Parts: sequence; structure tokens; C-alpha cells
Amino acid sequence: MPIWKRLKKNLATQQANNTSGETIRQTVVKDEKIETDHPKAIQQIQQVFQEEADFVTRELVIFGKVPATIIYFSSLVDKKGISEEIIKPLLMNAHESSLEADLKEVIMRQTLYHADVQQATQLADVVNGLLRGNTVLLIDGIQEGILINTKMIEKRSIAQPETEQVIRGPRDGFIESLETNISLLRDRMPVPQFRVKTMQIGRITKSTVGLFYMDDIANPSLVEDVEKRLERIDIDRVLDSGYLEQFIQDNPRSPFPQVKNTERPDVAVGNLLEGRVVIMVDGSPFALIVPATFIMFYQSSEDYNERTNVMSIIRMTRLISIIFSLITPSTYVAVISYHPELIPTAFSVAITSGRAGVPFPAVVEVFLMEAAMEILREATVRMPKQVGGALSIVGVLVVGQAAVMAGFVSPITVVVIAITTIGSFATPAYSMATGFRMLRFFLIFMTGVLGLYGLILGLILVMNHLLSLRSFGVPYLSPMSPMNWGGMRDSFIRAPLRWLIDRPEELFVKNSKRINNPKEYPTTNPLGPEQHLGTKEENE
Amino acid sequence: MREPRQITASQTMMAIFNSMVGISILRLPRIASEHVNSGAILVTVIGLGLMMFGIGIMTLLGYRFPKTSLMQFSKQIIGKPLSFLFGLFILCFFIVLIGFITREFSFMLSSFLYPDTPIIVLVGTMLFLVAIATRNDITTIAYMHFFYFPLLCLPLLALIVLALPEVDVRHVKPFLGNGTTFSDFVQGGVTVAALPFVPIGIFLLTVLTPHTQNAKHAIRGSLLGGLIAGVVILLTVFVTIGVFGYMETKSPLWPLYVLTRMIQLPLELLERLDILFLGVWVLSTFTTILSGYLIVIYTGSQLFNLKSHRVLSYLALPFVLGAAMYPQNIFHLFELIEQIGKIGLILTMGYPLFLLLIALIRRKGNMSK
Repeated sequence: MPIWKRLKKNLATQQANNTSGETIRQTVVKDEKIETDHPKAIQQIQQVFQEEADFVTRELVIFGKVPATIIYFSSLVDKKGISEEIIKPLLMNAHESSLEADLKEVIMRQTLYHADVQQATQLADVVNGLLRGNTVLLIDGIQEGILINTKMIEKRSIAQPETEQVIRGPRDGFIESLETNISLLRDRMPVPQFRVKTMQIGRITKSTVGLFYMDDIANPSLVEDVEKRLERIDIDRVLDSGYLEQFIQDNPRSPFPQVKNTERPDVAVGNLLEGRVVIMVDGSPFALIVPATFIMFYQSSEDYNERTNVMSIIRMTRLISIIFSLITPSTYVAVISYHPELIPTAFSVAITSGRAGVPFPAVVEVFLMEAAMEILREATVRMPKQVGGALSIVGVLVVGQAAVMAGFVSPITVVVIAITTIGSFATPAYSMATGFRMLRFFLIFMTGVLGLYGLILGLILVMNHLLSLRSFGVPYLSPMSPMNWGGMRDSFIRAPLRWLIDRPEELFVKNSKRINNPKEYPTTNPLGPEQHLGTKEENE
Repeated sequence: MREPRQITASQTMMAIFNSMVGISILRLPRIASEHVNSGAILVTVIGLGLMMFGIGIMTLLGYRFPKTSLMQFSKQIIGKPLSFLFGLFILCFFIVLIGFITREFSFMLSSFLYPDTPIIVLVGTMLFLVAIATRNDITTIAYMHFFYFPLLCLPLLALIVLALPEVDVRHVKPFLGNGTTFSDFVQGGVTVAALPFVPIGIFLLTVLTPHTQNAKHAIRGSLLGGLIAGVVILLTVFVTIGVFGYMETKSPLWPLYVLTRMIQLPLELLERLDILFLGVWVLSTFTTILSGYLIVIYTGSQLFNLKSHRVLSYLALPFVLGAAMYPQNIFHLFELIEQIGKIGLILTMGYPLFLLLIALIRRKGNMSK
């Protein structure tokens, strides 16, 4: 048997073992009803949880007569709420007259103060409910258990997102709680067309995944596609939305992100209103936005909040910085090693004198410096804040000045590396910046081997890859190729908002109008300069 | 989300442009002035006219048989065996042609910039890049052409504008050449039309037309593409001859490349522009070879009833590489290119014309005008 087949078989048997192991555990609980007999029912549940430290059973006698038990996990619930809203009414309200009536109805409808109350007959439902923070109320003589949602998990308060900072714009960011995040979105869009679908993904973590879209805008086939891809996922855990991203993207081998992530509710809302779908996971502050196109990764939500011409220039600056971060080192290598005749003679003399004494060819020099820079960057990310200052000193001194003085690298190489690194930091989307940073090593290699010809070949290869990428069927480089003039108004530049009449064409949205009366906004002063003074009433 | 995305008129236009503007236009001024000295521009016009004629025939065929490829409708018109035979000819012709273009490009690179790099490395890397690109579907390849169009068109226009101050109008006079005969012009025109970019441009239509939105788009795009490419090519010939004069144009192998060495930016930013233009030539060669390679594998897949052209992307590589490495030296290569160019003229213009006539006689295809 060939190796790969054997490997495949091993993998398959392993998977089979895994699933069978799990089913044993599940059959204990599955299809078993709660016993009608009160002590037996309690025993049933206690058997499942044996001796868990945070497993609590509290016995009561409700209405002065009927024995009942409250069961919960103390780590997951709001104990004050249980006392105030469940135990207190059960013990206080003695509806003597209603005792003859249906006890369950009385408790459900007249006694419990809590908002979220359900019934369950299956033991499995009760167990799941307990594990999700419900409190179970078992009453003697009633077959159903009553599940009361008393979940309370510690969560941080809404804070400013750390990854996408803006100067002008809302300061709130998503947090780990899905419910809070939904509230942030709903609050911004009080319309019934805003749809929230939830599903559970992850065999063990059972993470709640929310799927958001605008019913009257988003293309139904896109929503269907996203749902299908999410439903296909079968994994034991989903700890962050990044897990989902890797399962639903079109091309997992590409260095470019095909799903945009954001921590900002305003970005999520903006994209929902363009007809995109937003995905969130309980436990992750990052929302995924699909489909994502290349231009989305160098746009910032701030672009729309400030003046159009200024932000257009800033947007182009970002694009240039992305391109710089990709090609600067390889262009430098090409010019120095292969085509020094390209640059003016005076400058080329300066470079050569700077390089005198450097032991390596330019490509090795650049490669070493780039690697050092990557190490430095990675070190600063993982490091405790207290040592940060020390590292930056080491970085500046060792990688910069000392390396030059030691004759290890030439000063101009340091300048080139600095431009590259700063360029990659100017990219708003971290995932895109990382993709480009890694690609530049490939380009340095190509240039080292074949000079400018290699660089151009490498760039063509990267461009072809970008052109062939799709995100949920949407061409990655749209609206540039395939061309769409309406979309170009919000790509390299950010045209005035009153020009952005239509939603992105490549998404085939249901309702493409963003602005209904584009002609009614003043473009320049309609009255002419001479009537600029005075109020409107005076002029009339 | 799979929405229908088809090739538009502008994409067709740019694809035709990119396929035509390639390494051959570096050589074109020399070819044109060889036969008729200062009548080079007129000869180019004749050659380009022939090319437009070929494009016209192909678009008419595409209009008559919309949504079908050349292999499919030639089967309808002249029967299976004959169409298979011609298809095989076309396949072999393009394999050799693509090989030779790649070789010519590599020669240029190695003679100007990389004298020490083995030819096979330059040839192989380019062909491999093309083969990877053809792993995509045809719509994506149209996107590529669309994206690269401004990167080719604008530098060429800039080259023309930068060279204009150097142009001496006396160099291009007399338009009819000195002591030339009518047959010189015909011969020259045919030589120009036999340059590799003509068959690639024409046959690219057979690949694109079945995937365009509708026949009208294909016609508009292809005619416009041929026209724009023709005008730009004509302008480069005019500028080259205008700067050098026909005597000097004849001596270098690639006169247009020499022109890029001559021109300078008004600002002393860069010492030499030819290396910058190297990027443009690499890109233009890439787009040309991409189109040619696509024709090869598309025709091949149709010929052998394969599911998709992608199957042949890497399989065709050794054949093209073999063709590229066959010529012994540059002069042998040019000789061979001219020879197979003449054969190509029969295949790329004669064969479609023949098909069109038979289709007219046998009343095949879409008759409504």
C-alpha cells in the first residue's frame, strides 16, 4: 500500500474512533426522560455530574407543601437573581386556592418572576440547559423540569478596539459576548430587515455563531452560500472567529486574506448595508465580513467620516505604503546587484561608497536585515509592556546604527528596510499587511536569482494570483478588474458621499440604491459668490 | 455565490491589444524598413490592414457561430476529419510560434542584460509563469488582460511622447520609399502581417468569442482592439524611423529597444529608461505568450475532447520548450520565424476565409443579420 493511502486509512480509523468514543458518552443521556418520581429525577441528574465542585442542588418546599429542588452550576449563574426571582416567589406566594389547579401552570405563569422560562422533558435537554447556565426547577409530581435562564458570565465592558484605531469616529468596539455585540448592531439599525441567524458550531465548545445580514439588501444566494459553508464545519472547537475564517474562505493556500475581520460595530454596519454578510462567534470580539475584496483591506472606517479630498489622498498613501512594503527591498536588490546603471551616477557613487566594506552581496544583506526586522517585530508583539522600551532601544541601536558602524550592512540598506517596515505598518488591516510582508521574501529571492526580470516575473505571478482569487464568488480585485466605474468611486479614492449612489455592483444586491436623491445636494454654492453674504431670508 | 460573469467588449479589446503588443513590435521598424526603406510606415499600414482583414473574417465567423469555438464550427462546416487535420496544423503552428517568441525574448534579454544567464532559464521561467497563469479559467485570463492593459498602453504612449521631440520628419519622407516597386510593398506588407503577433491576435478571438456576453460585444471589442493596437504599433514605427532614419533602423536587431535607451526623462530622475522599459517588455511578452499558450491548450483540449484547457497547462510545456530551444542562434531563429510566419498567414487568414466561404455556400450557422 502506498504511503499516502496508508496515512489516509490511519486518519480515517482515528476519526472513527473519535466519534465512537463520543457516542458512548452521549448515550448515557440520550433519549432518556426525566423520572416522574422526585428523588429519582434528582438522582438521575446527579449521576451525570457526580461530584462536580460547582454543582449545586437546593431543596425547597414550595407553597408550604410541595417538595421541589433547584439545581444549577454556581459558576455559571446569577445567584442573586435565583434568590430574588425564583426562590423568593416560590416560597412567599402561597396561592392556597390555586393549589388545586394545575401546579405547573401556576408556577410558570403566576409565580416565577424571571423572563426566560422553558420546559424540558428530556434529560439531555436538562443537562445541556444546566451546562449553558440555566437553573433547573424540579417539582414533585410534575414530569417536566422547568429551565430558567439565569446565565451570568463575567464580561469586560465595551472598550475602544485596539486594532483599528480612528481619530474621528465611534469609540466602541465589539467584546467577547455575542449578545452584547448583537445589541451594538441592533442599536445602530432599528429596522426589521436586519436579520440575525444563530447556529452552534463545535462539537465540544458548542459556540454560538451569529450570521447577520440585511434581508432587503443582501443577495440571497450569498447568504445561502455562507450558511452552507458554515454548516459544513465539523470541528471540536471554535475558539475565535479565525477558526471559521479558515474553513469558509475560498482559497486556503493564498497568502491574502479573503475574509475581512473587524472589531468595530460601525464597520460591520457599513458592510451590512453594502450587502455583505457578517459572522460573529460567541467568545470572539472579531466579526468576519464576507465577501471581502482587496480594496476593503486598505480602507478605514474613518475615510467616510472626514472630508473627501483629504481622505482620498490618505487612502492613496496607504495603497502606496502597501506597494512599498512589497517591492522596496527587491527593487533595491535589483538596482544594486544587477542594474546599477539605472540610477544617476552621483547617487550610485554614494551608494557604492556606503557599501564599501560590506562583506555580503546586496541580496544577502537585505535578506538578513529583513529577517532581523521580522524577529524584532514578532518580539515586540509578544512581549510584556514593561520591557518594550528596552527592546526598542536594542532594535534602534543594534539593528540600525551598530550594524552600520560594524560594517555589517550599508546605511542605505537600513533606510530601505525602514521604509518597508513602516510601509507595512501603515496598512490598516493586519492580515493583509502580514500577507504582503511574507511575499516580499519571495520577491527578494526572485530578484536575487534573476534581477529585475525575476522581480517582474514575481510581481506578475502575485498579480495573476490576486486576479484569480475569489471571495465567495466575487473577484478579489473588483472593481478594478473586472472594471466597474461606479465602484471605482470608492476604491483608490473616496468620492463625496453624494456620488456613492449605488451599492457595490459586484455583490449583486437586491436593492442597489444607497442615496435616493443625489441631485438635491448642493455641489458648489448654487447662488453664486456675490450672494454668499447674508442669510437666506435676507436674500429672498 | 456564483453569478454569471462573462467577457465584456472592453475586456476583449484589451486582450487583443495586449496579445498584439509584444516582443515583435521591437523588431517591427526594422522589418518594415528592410524592403522599402523610408516607405516603412506605408508598409506597416498595409500589414496592419491585412491583420484587420483577418480579424474581420474571424469576427464574422464568430458572429455566424456564436457560443461555439473554432473546432466546433469547423466540424459543422467541413466535416470531422478535415477539421481535425486543420486543428492539428493550428496546434503545431502555435506551439512552434510561442516557442520562437519566447526564444526571441530570451535572446533580447540575454544580449542586453543577462549575458551570463543560460537561455533555457530565461525561456523556462517565462513559459512556466505562463503555464501557471493558464490554470485559470478564460474569464480570469480576460481579467488579467484587462488589468495589464493600462500598464502596457500608458508606458508605450509615454515612450512615443518622450521620443516625439527627437523625430525628424525628413526621416520618414518620401512615404513611398526611394526606388521601390509595388511588389516590394506587397512583399513588405506580407512580411509585417506574418509577424507572430498577427496570428495570436486573430486566433485569440476563437478562444474569447464563445465566452463573451454576446456576438456584438465580441465584434465591437475585437475590431476596436485591433484598431487601437494597430494605431499604437504604427506610432511606434513612426517614432522609431523618425528618430533614427531608415538606414540606422536597419542595423540594430530591436530598434525600438534602442530607442528606449535614447530617450530621457525631462527630469534627471533615472539615468537610463531602457531598464525600466524592460518591465514593460516583460509584461507585454507575458501577455502575448499567455494568449498564444491559451490558444495552444484551448485548441488542444477541443481537438482531443478534453474537459477543460487546464488539463494541458503543464502537458504542453515540454513541447513549447522544445520548440523554443530548437533554433541554433538568433539569425536561424529570425529565418525560422519568417518562414513559419508565411505558413501562418495561410492558416490564420486563408483557413478562416475558406471556412467562411464554405459556410456561406453550405448555408451553415446563424443566417440572420
